Amino acid sequence: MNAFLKKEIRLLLPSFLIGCVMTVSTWLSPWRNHDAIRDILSLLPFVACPAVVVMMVLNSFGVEISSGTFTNLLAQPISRLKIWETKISLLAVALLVVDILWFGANVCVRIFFANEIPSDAASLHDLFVSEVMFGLVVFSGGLWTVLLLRQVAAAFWFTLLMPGVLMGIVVGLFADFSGDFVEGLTVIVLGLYSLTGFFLRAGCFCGRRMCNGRAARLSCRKCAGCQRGFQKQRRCVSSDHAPHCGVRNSNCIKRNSSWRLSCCCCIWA
Amino acid sequence: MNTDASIIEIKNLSRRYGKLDAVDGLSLNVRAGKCYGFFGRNGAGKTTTIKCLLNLLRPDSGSVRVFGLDPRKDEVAIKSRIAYVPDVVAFYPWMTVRETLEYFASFRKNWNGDIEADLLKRFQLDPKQKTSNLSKGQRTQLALIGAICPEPELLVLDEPTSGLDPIVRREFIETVIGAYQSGDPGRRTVFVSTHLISEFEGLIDEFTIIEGGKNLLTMEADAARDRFRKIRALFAEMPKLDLSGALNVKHSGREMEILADGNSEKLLAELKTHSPEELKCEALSLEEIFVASDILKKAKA
Repeated sequence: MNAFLKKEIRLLLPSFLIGCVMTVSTWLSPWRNHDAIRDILSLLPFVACPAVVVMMVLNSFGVEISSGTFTNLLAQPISRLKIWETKISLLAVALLVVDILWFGANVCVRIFFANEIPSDAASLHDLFVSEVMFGLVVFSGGLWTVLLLRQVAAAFWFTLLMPGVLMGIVVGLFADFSGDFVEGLTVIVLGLYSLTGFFLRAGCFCGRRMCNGRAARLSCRKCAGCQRGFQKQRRCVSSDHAPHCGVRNSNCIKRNSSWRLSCCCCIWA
Repeated sequence: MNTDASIIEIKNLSRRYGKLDAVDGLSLNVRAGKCYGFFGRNGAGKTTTIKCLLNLLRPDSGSVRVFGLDPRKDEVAIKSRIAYVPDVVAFYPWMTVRETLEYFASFRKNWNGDIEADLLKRFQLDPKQKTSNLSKGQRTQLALIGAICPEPELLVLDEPTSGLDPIVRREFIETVIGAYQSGDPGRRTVFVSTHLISEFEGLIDEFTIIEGGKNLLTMEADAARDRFRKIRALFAEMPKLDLSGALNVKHSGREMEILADGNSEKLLAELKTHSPEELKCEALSLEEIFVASDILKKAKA
């Protein structure tokens, strides 16, 4: 394992472990005895766990930005794409594990306490959808907010509040429509919000803007063919570019891999 | 390597933060094998310029070339030949000194272990110590070791001596940078941004003074010392003199201090006509030139 990956794992580890513990804390939920302390404990999996998950997403970039190590990392001879891919992949895996644990713990609780908690297919479906949407908006929201605002505290609240605001708008505007319609629309809006945030940030961070058509034509007059080739064949075909051209084969292939990774993350989310 | 080859070439670089022009039409050229000083007051735009060099910031306009390459397109190729020590040094707190150096080494093709061992010993840094327990000066030392061990072609230092005690500062400048550059003269270039100019007096070959994001003065150090001179004259009785060509004139009792900008011979001749008791002419240090540049700016305005 290389030192960079090891460092990234170490960076995520504390919030990941806390996230895992929190997800399992579903078991602490007092489904039988409803005294005051147990009521507070029962909030853990539904309030504290999401907060920890948000912090985990923010930590990937946020800790580096706030501690000043990000400049040092960016000054090293490693491409931004590689940094982005490593961080995002690791974060996606961590989030997936936490999500699976959380969902699994919830399902277990519902099975064991089937008399007290609704455990039919519809409620599990609702739980699954809400968890997927939560994972999606937190993954994307955490990334764009922390990279844009560069402050963990501000990013934390934006990550939590933005989806809430969007949901509020959707529900407010379509209050008269059926519940299923509003639910579907909410899912679409939050999905679009997540995809837009993710791709905008990925583009800004990796500097993909410099590899697009306009910038390419500015940097190399022989690029028209390349651009057509890229659009049609999903890879660069021209090999006679100027040496400084930003749309040479390797860059185009890198761009492809970035898109593939981004799509995988979004599909999973 | 051809010493006339440009290692850094900046043309009309501009970078704004909101309405503030941090860098405004800056141009400079750093040749291979030189120690280039980049001087300026706080907030002059030094760090912004360096960040544009390293593609940590995108310029609003102008062009930047490092080793003839565009940092935005050939980022990795450039950075593999560069080492950078930022003004604010930070490390991962859980890592030890050894782990931090291993982490830096993992990004590099070349890593000189002998230099690493030598510098660790010279700076008296314990490899097993956690970076969170290091003082500010020790963190800077560690960053310098991390920058020098890959033996880069270009060493970019942003306020490298801030936080170092005077002994280590001297050791660092004379021994570390000097040794680094003399290790492969003509190939290794140092680009140092600082306002502690006197510390680098003997090392700087060429410099740029930046003010308000604009290039105020770019000169070779020796040429600057020839051009800017300080004349001290002691008179029995202060005469009436026409020193309109002087950059600055200070009176202190019977003594007169004149700052000459390329016209010291003419001013000396003028002073000699009034038979001074004592007349001295000496070159300005780079720090004095930096201070004089402020007067020069006002004179130009």
